[in-house]
Amino acid sequence: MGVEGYPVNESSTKLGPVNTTVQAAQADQLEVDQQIIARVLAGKREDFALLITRYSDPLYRHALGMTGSPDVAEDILQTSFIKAYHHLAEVRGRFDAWVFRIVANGCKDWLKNIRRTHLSYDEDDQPSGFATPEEELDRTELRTDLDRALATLAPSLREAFVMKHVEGRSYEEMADLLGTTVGALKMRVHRAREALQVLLEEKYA
Amino acid sequence: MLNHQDARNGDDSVRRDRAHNASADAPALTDREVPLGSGSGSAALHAWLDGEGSLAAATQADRRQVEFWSRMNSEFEVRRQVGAPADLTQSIMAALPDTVPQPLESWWMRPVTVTPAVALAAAAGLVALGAALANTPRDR
Repeated sequence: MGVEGYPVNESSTKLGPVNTTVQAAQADQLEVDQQIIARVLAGKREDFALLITRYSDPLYRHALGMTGSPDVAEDILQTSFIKAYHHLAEVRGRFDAWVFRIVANGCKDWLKNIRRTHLSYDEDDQPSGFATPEEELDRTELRTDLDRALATLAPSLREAFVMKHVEGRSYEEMADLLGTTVGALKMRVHRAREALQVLLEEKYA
Repeated sequence: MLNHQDARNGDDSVRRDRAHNASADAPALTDREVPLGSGSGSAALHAWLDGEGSLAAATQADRRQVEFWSRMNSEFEVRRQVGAPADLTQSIMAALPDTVPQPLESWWMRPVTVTPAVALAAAAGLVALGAALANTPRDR
């Protein structure tokens, strides 16, 4: 794809309102979620799997972007969904935004408590579209350097950067999920970009 | 004593070292929301990256940075395709309790069952409180 439309693929991870169509879809989504929650609370425990399936992909990407570790991301998602199940009767409003905050807090708590010495994605978890071993090697190096650079960012900068660039969310959606302003988030993303540029541009620019 | 001239001369080498040896051991950058660099090149680049400006304007302002971020974007696109492990739902469901989640109520919201003992204790408490208030010395 071209770079003119960058950032791309925003629709694939949308959880928030952007336009009328999305708002309508979101209203449907809210209704479906509430129906599922009502069924779970009425005793159909197995229906909770529907909620996990609906939201695990974007939440996993967020946790992976924040922690850099597939194992940790999986642990955070598991803990978060178990916590969500225990408190399911307390959900008011959007389930997806509520569970996102649980996952996001889990990631930030983990970042506060852990200093990692090595960050890498599991190669098996990643699709590969590169034709040659050389291209694959280049990508592996870029991936490692990017992970290391991301690890130097403060959690709030990393969170904003990951949501914008890795998850492809709009600023409005980010503000909705994080309970802050678009201006503050732009500032965080811009700061993160500048920090990453300093760390990586000599090698990759 | 810090030699500022040497420190300035060393900036480039330090920057190169950081580029090649970016490490998780480095201290986390702070999250101070202070004004960003206001160069027009920077503004055009951020506007493009935010989806609010054109590629042409960003390229005109700073072609090198546009190429850098285009390369980064190729990695972001790959990461955007990553999904949760296939067995995640199953493992979470296996870890859930068998009981149906119940709303947690604060103690003051729970219904109180009045037994004779509770009524007696409450009455005694009120009498004691009344007596204590009646015996409180008054200044005037």
